Amino acid sequence: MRFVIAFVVVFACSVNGIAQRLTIDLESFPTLTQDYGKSIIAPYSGIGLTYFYDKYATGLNYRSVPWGSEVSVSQAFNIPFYQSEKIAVGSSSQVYVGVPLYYNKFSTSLGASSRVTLKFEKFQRIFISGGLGYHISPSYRSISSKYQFVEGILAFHIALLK
Amino acid sequence: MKLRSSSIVLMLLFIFQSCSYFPEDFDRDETPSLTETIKYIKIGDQGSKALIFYPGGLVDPFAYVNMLSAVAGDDVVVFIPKVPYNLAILNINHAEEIKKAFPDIKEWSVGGHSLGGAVACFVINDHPSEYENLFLLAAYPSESTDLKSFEGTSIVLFGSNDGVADLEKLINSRDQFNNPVDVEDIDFIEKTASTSFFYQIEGGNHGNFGNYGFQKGDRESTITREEQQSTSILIMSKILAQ
Repeated sequence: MRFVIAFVVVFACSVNGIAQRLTIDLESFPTLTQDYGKSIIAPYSGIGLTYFYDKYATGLNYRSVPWGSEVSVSQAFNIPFYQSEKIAVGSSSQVYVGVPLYYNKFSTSLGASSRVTLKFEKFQRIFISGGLGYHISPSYRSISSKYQFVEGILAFHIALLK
Repeated sequence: MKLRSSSIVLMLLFIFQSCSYFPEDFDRDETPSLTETIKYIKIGDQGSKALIFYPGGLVDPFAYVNMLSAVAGDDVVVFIPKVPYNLAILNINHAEEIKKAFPDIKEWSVGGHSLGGAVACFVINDHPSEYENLFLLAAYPSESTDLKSFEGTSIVLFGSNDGVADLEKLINSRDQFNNPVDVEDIDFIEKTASTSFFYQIEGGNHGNFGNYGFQKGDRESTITREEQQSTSILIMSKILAQ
C-alpha cells in the first residue's frame, strides 16, 4: 500500500499542469451476482488518475478484478447538467481498455460505464460519482465463468490540480 | 523531465510486481462437480468434511483445481477462496465466511500454498479449535503465529529444490508447531492429535504444487509435477479420510 501511495504521489507531481484538472480517484465496484439463489455484492476496488480537459477526460486506473488485477486506460466524455451555487451535476460516459496483469499471458479486457457526478461547491477539490458499468475479459473465459459482469461504481475524486 | 521519468519507472515497477500467474488450461468436464462463485471455487457436491485451501501469492486460484480435484472425494468438499489481487493476506477471514455459508459441514480443515499457507496459519492462530487439520505446501507460519494451541494434525510438505520459499525459515519454524516430526516415509504420516509432520519431497520445487507454469526464482524440479502432486494428494486424502 505504501508503494501505491508513493506511485500516485510521484506520478501526480510529474504532471506539469497543462490539464484543467487532475484527480486521484478512489473507486469501489460493487458487483451484484447470484450465488446459490442468494444475491450477494462482491466489491472490487481501485485507484486511478484522471486528466480532465474541457469535456473530455483520460484516465489511468489500477483495480482488483475477478482475474486478479489490471491496469486500464480510459476515455470519457462529460456533460454538465445542472449547476447552482451549491451543487453541480453532470454525467460521464466512459470506455476503457485494460490489461490484466499476468506474468505468463498477455490479454486485454474491455469496459464501459455511465456515471452521474456530483460536486458540492463547498468542497472545491472534491467530487463524487456513481453509476453502472460493464466489464469483460475474453481470455479468462476459458478458465472461469466469472469473466464478465455488470458492476456498480462508487467513486471519490480529489482534484490535485485545478 | 527527470521527475517524470522516475514516475514512469515507478509505475512500471509497480505494475510488474502486481502480475499474477495465469493458470494452465484444464478440462472442466474432467473436474467433478466444480462450481464457482464470485468468492470461491468449490470442488465436490456435498460432504461432511471440507478443506479450505488458500492459493499462493499472485497465483490464480484455478491453478490448484487439477490437484485439489483429486483430493475432493465422496465425503470431502474442497474450497479455494478467491482473494483480492490474488493475495490471500488481504482477506484472512475468507475461511470463516465460507464456513458460515456451509453450516452442514461438520469437519473443517485449512491449508494453502506458499503465502496461502501462511494465511492458513493465521486462521489456525485465530480459531485453533475449529479445524481438524492444517496442510502447508511450501509454506511456513510468520514468527508471530501461535500454532501450539492447535490440537489437530499439521502436515508440512516442501520440495528439496524449492527456490522461492525460504527452506531454512521453513525448517526453523518447527518450533512453532506442536510435536514436530520429520518423516522420510509417507506411510508414517497419520492423523495424530497435536502432531506436526514435516515431509520433504525429494526433487520437488515450489511451483509444481500448482498448475501455473514455472515460477520466477524457482529451481528446476527433478521429478515431474504429477509425481509431486501425487504425493501431496496421497497425504492430504489420507489425513482427510481418517
